[in-house]
Amino acid sequence: MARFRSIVSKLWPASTAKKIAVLLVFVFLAFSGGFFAISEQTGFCNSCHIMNPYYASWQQSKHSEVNCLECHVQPGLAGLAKAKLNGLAQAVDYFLDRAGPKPNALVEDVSCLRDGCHTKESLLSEPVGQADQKYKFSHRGHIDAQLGGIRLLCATCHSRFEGDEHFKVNTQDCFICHFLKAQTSPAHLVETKCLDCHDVPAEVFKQGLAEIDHRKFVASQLSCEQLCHTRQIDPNNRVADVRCLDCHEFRNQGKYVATDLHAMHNGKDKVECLACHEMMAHGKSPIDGHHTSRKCDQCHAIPFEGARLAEIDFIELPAECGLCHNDPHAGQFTKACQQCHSEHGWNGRWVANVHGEGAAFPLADKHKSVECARCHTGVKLAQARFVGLLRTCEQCHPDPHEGQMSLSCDKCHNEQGFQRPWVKDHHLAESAFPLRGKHAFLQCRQCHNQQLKAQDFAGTDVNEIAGNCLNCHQDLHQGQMQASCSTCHSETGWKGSNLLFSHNQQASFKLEGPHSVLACDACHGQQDKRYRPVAHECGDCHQEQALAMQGIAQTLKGDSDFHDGRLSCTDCHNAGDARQPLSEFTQKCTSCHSTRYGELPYAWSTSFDKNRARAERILREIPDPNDERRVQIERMMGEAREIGFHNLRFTQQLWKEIADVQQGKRLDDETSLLLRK
Amino acid sequence: MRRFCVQSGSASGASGHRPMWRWAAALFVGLAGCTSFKHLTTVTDGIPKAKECGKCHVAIYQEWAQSDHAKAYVNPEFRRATDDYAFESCLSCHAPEPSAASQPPRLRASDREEGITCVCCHLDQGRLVGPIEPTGKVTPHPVGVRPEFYRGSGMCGACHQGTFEEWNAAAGKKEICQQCHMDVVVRKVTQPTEGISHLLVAMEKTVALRRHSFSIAGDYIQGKILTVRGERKDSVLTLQITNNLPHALPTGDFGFRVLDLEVIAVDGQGERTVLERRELAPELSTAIIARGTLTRSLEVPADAVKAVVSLRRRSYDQTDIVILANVEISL
Repeated sequence: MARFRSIVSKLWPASTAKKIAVLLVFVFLAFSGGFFAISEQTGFCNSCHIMNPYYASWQQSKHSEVNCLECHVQPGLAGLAKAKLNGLAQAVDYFLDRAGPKPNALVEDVSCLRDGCHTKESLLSEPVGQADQKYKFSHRGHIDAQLGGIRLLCATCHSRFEGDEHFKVNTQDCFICHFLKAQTSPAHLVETKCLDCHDVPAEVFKQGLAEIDHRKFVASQLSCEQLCHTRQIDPNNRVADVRCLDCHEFRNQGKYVATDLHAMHNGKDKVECLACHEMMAHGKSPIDGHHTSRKCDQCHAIPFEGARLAEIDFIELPAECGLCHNDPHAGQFTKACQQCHSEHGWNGRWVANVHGEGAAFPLADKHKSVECARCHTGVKLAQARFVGLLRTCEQCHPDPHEGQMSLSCDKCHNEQGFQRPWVKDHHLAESAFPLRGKHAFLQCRQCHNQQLKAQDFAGTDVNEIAGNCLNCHQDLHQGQMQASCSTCHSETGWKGSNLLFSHNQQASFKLEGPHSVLACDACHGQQDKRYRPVAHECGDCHQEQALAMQGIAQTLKGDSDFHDGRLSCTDCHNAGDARQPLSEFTQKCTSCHSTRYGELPYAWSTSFDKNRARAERILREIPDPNDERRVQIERMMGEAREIGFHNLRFTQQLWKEIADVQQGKRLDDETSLLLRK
Repeated sequence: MRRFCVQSGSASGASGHRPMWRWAAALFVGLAGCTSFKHLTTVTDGIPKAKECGKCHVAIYQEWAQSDHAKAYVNPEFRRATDDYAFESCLSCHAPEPSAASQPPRLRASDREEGITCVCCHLDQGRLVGPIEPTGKVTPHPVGVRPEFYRGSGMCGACHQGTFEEWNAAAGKKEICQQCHMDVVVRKVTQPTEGISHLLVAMEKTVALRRHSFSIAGDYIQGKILTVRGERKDSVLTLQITNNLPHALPTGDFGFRVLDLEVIAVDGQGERTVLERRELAPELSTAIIARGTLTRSLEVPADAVKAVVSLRRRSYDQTDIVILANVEISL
């Protein structure tokens, strides 16, 4: 005792401060120990009210005899130390009001597999049990499984807290892995067959007359989903991007590797699978479409009378419509029913569109709104004629043009409508009557029966016009022309350069020499235009000369010149020459008369010159312009010059009588060669 | 002076033909001195007029006076055609100098109104020349005989140059101009007028002479000038008109001479249908050449019985019309 006292007295500090310090340390240690012990009590976890539901559920769970720390703390000193520090942090968070609303706890596998609890061997050797009393389940295949780098933990499945359960397995989570399609391949991550989870039902289902015994299908080569249950899986396993924001305040841009994500949210901070993944529906769904309402024996033939549905051979049926449905189309179609029809129904809206673009008879525009029965006539539409219809317009549209048109309907009309805006212009360049030039601006009814309104055009006689210009245009030439209008006129216009008429090529009178500079009016009249025939004999315009040759002049009348009636003007005159020299005329004289005539033209010409000089001398002696004699002499001079060689007698007489006029002689001298008018 | 001499000459019957009065007459004539017939052959500032010749050559003068030669200058057509005689180159044939030589005639200076008068052809160096020997004993003027000249076409061809060329070109035997155009007549060269001329003319011989009317005698017209033949085959009548003359028909350099051809078909009832009217003239190049044949093919109506073909020649002034042929062809 004394030795103990001496040791203690040696160790016991002498100073007071030191004594208090030692006492404080001692108190501290005691307090820590006590706290340590208290905190290990299960009731301590419930100190925060946030834990109330979890604590209550634990109390009612199977693990109620198990201390919290047994699961939530990893075994070993390291685990304990980590848990204590974690606890301190939680306390700080709580007091600082920093705790979130939902606590998160990850139970590590080692906690479950603690000595005296669960062992892997026992789990693996469990018989296949019933999950949810429905599905087969075995831990085999789940323990230590890795799916695409994602480790499967106990807590991955055994985690969900719901209602009274402290944790349970959410069977919906099963679908996420079992029906998940890999991101990079269409294959499933886990190849799950129906029978991996489902048993073939032993019971016989009754549906109407049908008795379905699934055991009969077992022998089939087809799988459950290939036979009837085709839509049991709804592979909606996407993870929406916005899910992250449910918990996080922001979402980091960038690709997340599935393994990293899962390591974080599965391995570290436990997050429920369905918090990110969309739920995948897997449950009872109807067998496809219309067929569900059918009674089974309507498709599956009854082998003998009184046979039960179970005795029907379901498996080996070929998928032929004709087994159940009579062909109302009377064999018109060679292709399979499914090309046009589906199990949704026979109604028109379910029939495939065979009259679309690229079809044999596409229905465009207004044809689209036509009922099927309009063209496919029959008592019932299904029995109507579908194949082999003539695709001619006349089948439905009577020809309002009464057969006038030689072209097929589609050359002018289309399905948009019959009205004018949609009628193709028939008067194209290659048609019988192309609308060129100014015709192109016409409206149809200006030519085709102006009486009817535009919408009645269909019934007009389109050929009544027959390209005859006179049907619309008045003939200003008053029928004088023999040629057709188009010889000279075109649709571009009537006048100027639009006129195709070339006088020298198309008229019988060539405009040469002095004739080529004449105005049109000079021959064709000014007021009452005469085109043809126009008198184009020389004498019709050159009347003074022609009449003189016939013996008729303004002031004289007498015998005709001997050449009148025996020669034509062009025998001496060239119509194309402006002036012909006297030598040329002389040649013409001697070509008929003897060569001894050669001097006469010159002789006469000289005579006329002398006479004219003499007459002008006479005029100079009568300066008064109003003198009657002067007027008469001037007139006679003009006439003599005009007549010239055309009637030598007349000309000679005129020149001679000018002298008589000067002398005031009365011009009815009987000795005159010529008679007076 | 001349007139006086002639008058005195005729009063005393100085155109002596009787032989026994020859000497006396010649003396008287010589003594008279001023009594001469030189005016008949002398060309001074005037030519011997035709009328003077006509005092003895009465018949010839009358024929000539009616002929175209007499009117050659004065006719109005010629006057007009030469512009009042202004074209001198024309005048030389119409009023030539007295010259019996065949050469292009020259225009005479005086008495152009005479036309182609006696002295133009018959006066040759102071002698009045003819084709025959003098038929009388006494001639008041010197005479000459040149039958070869007056019996050749060249004499006419001097003026009628174109026709002469045609005549020359005609082959074979052909008449000379004078044969057709100066008809033969048997008579005396002179005819009596008064007094002593009867005596003188009675002493003349009657010979075959030629008319100086220079026209076509009647006999020659129909049948000789043109031969008309016609043949009908189905409905076509083929006419052949042959010109038998040694010159073209019609002929002539100047003026407008026309031969009118007219063919008329007559049916049983006497209905006349004109098949053709055609002018044949050298200016129209339709004249029938010398000895040539004009062929016409004409459509005849089925009921025609005969065809009347007539060819009429119009003179240069269109006034004179001579029917050269009027033939009926039965169809």
